[in-house]
Amino acid sequence: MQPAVDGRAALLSPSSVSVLVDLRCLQDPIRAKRGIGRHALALLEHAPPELELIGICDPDMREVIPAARECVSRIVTNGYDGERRSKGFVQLSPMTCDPLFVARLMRMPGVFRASVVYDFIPWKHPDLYLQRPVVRSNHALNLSWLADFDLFGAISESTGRDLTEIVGVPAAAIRVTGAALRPDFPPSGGVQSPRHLLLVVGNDPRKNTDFGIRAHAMSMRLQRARIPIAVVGRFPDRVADRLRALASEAGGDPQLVEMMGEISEERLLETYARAHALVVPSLDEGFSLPVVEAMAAGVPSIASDIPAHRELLAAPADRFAVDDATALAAMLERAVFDERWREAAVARQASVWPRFRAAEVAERFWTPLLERLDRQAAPAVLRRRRPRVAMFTPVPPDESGIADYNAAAIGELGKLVELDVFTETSAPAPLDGAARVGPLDAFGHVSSDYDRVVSVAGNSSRYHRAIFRLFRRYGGACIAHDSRMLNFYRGGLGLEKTLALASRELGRTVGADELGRWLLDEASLGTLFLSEIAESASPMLVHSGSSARLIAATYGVEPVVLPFAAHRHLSPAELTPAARRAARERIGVAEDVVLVASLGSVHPTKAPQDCVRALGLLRDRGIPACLHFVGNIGGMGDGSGPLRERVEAMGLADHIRFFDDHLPWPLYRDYMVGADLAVQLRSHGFGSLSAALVDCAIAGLPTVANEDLAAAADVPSEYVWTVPDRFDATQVADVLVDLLANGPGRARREAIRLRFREERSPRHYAESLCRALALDVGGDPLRADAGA
Amino acid sequence: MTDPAPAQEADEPKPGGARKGGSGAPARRKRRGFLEALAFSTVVQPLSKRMRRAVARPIMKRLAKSRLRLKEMRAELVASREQIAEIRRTLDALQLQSVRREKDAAAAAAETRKQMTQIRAALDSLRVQSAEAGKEAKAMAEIVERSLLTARLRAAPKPADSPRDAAGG
Repeated sequence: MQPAVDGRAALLSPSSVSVLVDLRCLQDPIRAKRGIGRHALALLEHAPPELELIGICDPDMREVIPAARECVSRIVTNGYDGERRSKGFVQLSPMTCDPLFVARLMRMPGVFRASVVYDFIPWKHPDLYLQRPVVRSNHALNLSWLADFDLFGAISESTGRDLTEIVGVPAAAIRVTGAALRPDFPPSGGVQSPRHLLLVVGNDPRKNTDFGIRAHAMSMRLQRARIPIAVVGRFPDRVADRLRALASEAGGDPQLVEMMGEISEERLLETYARAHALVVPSLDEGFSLPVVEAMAAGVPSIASDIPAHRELLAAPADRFAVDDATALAAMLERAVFDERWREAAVARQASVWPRFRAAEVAERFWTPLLERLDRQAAPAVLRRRRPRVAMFTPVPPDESGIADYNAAAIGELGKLVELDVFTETSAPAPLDGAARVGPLDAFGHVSSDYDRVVSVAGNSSRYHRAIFRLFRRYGGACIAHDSRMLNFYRGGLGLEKTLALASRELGRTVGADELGRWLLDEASLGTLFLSEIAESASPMLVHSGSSARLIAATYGVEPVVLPFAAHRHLSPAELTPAARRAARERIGVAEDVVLVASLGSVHPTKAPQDCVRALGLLRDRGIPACLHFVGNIGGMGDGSGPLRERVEAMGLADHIRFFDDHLPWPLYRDYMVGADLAVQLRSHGFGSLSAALVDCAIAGLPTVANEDLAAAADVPSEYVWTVPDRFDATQVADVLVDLLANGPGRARREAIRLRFREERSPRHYAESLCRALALDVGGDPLRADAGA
Repeated sequence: MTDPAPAQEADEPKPGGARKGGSGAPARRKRRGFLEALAFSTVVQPLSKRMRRAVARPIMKRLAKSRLRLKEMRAELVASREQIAEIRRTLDALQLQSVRREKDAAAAAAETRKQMTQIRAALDSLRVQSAEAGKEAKAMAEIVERSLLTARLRAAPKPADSPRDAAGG
């Protein structure tokens, strides 16, 4: 993530209006140096101070160029702007990037949209530029999006006319700005003794370089006087050779064709300074920056008779037809040998270039935008409807804890908002609360009909890859269920991406060996793999305060804490002594035995060996306890065998129970009801949550947990007692004994339990989520434009 | 090959007429004539004509058989020679064929190698084309997806408070 830059931000007044600016054309260093990039940068550099510019960059592209970075107060990595804080959107290059990336902004009410328009050359010359169907289709798609802007900054009158003719934009929505001169014009050195004619072109048939070379070669007077023609622009050697051969065929000396290649700006200024005249034989242009540069350098320009040139060179004597090389040869001779003509040309062209100084061009672009934004400040339209939310999540019947959890949350959230769920789950179960459950695609992200978009991220590559891909591209709020994402990246996005992200997050190279160690032992994990979520989310939501603090310290992003909801409920009637006795009978544990449960699937990170040792210690102290692992032991993988062997070796086989499969809910509930104590441990920190610990708390079950886990779940300390995060079996046994002797013992503290149940109800969770999303669902009508 | 001269009666004409030979042939004939004459004068001449006939008859018979056998052997020899010649011709032909085959095989291998090179080049070219086509198809699929999304968005009514509408632009 790029740090904020003080430069421009310091100039902003509190009443600044924020405008999002698409900076993707300045993420490509090559394009940034060319016409589009230079013009775009000039506009940014001369934006009015009352605008707060927020840059939108594509995280899959390179970093934006530093000069552009300095022009914006901050960078965002998508066009979400869920809370609609920006009143304007500026597209600096509408035809060169994927329009869907910012589609949400393109249809969002209350946002004024302006675009720079350069030319329609590809559309007018499809044989040259749109030969491939892919390119043609892409161009047509971009054109269709171009029509949706509200204001257009065309770089020339002719581009404006094309905009009306081709796209159907009314003339009233078009402002002709011109293209911005570079800051090094006019050059300070002045004109020197001329030696050559100058062609500033490129290897493109439209530039019509052949014509200029031929006309120069055809002039015997120029040839005899040994006046060279300097060709500035990047040409492959074979094309350069062909141009020299062309000069030779036309009767000229090929040595007088000086192919200069692509030259530095300094050298270009020198080349202008020693030119008799600039010759621009282009067949079509949106604007001609070389003509204006030559004017600013005090060098006369002669150019082809095309609309863009007619705007710059009003005198017909300064233009030539592109089918008469003899006439051009005569003009070139006049430019070289007729000093009076040259002086007159410089004089009549001198008044043109000043209006293309960057500040003036930028003013012509930003002023109408500011006026429209001022008009936009009128009270927003109020819509009396519930807010619409698109949620991207796995849902049942996917065998995912997140799917079950969200199914409960959706039921309550759907009572507060109009909720559409987008999911990859095949044949999703009916969801109470969801207005619509549809297949996963980008529609929910790009449609401005949704006031907010929420993606759910988890550490499983199986259920979250497609959701993550869309989230990363289009942004939105993101609920990060897990406190680290290593398994998601490694399993879903591959080794290379995982190593790259780890290296980026740690600021050093991380190798496959180190990654392998992390995968084997999560306690050794070097980083959380949450930077991309933190970068793209607005806001990022996490379920524990400790996780939020860790993320803030690691990534400099403050996530919103959304306390984990309990999606399983026990009523007081389910916890009566009779109900508990019945549950124990179903489990098969006698009344006089202390039943210690460890809820949730068994996993090495949950310290099952310490739980077993702790049971041994309890029994050594004369407590008739048994330990049941209330979850699938399959999570232990190869470790299940040694665990069972240890139990046998300790002579505890009769007092410990394992399950080889997922437990059905009724049996799991029996344990929540019938157990006397619970042990919930994690051998690693990271503020990770335990849904099973929340289940214990919901059941009012006296529980021993390690400090990080208890803090993450924020469970009642009255009956959830802790051991340090670096615990051992003795400490666990001690606290269990303490709970029995000095705590609630085998009783439940119903009042505290009920209060916790209410605080962690899915309804409460849904309300908290709406608050985190800044959605007003308290009965007041929703303001259409939250930023207004 | 020179056949050994068969034993011959002195009065019998020599088979095949005068023998060809080297410069010592008349001398050998002369010596043999002397020995034969000596044998005749010492062994045969003292016998009676009847006895001589009795002694000569089985000899003549054996002689005739020998001659016959000799003829057969000569015929077999000729046949063998022809067979050998035939075998030689066959061998020569086979050798020639083998050489030709080796040459053909070398030429065929060279041709195969050339074809393999061409096939490899064609495959590489196809791979490149396929990769390009794949990229193109992927790009087109993305554009189709974007176009569909665009169409779905356009199908939804445009928000009423469009600034351009509001501004009368």
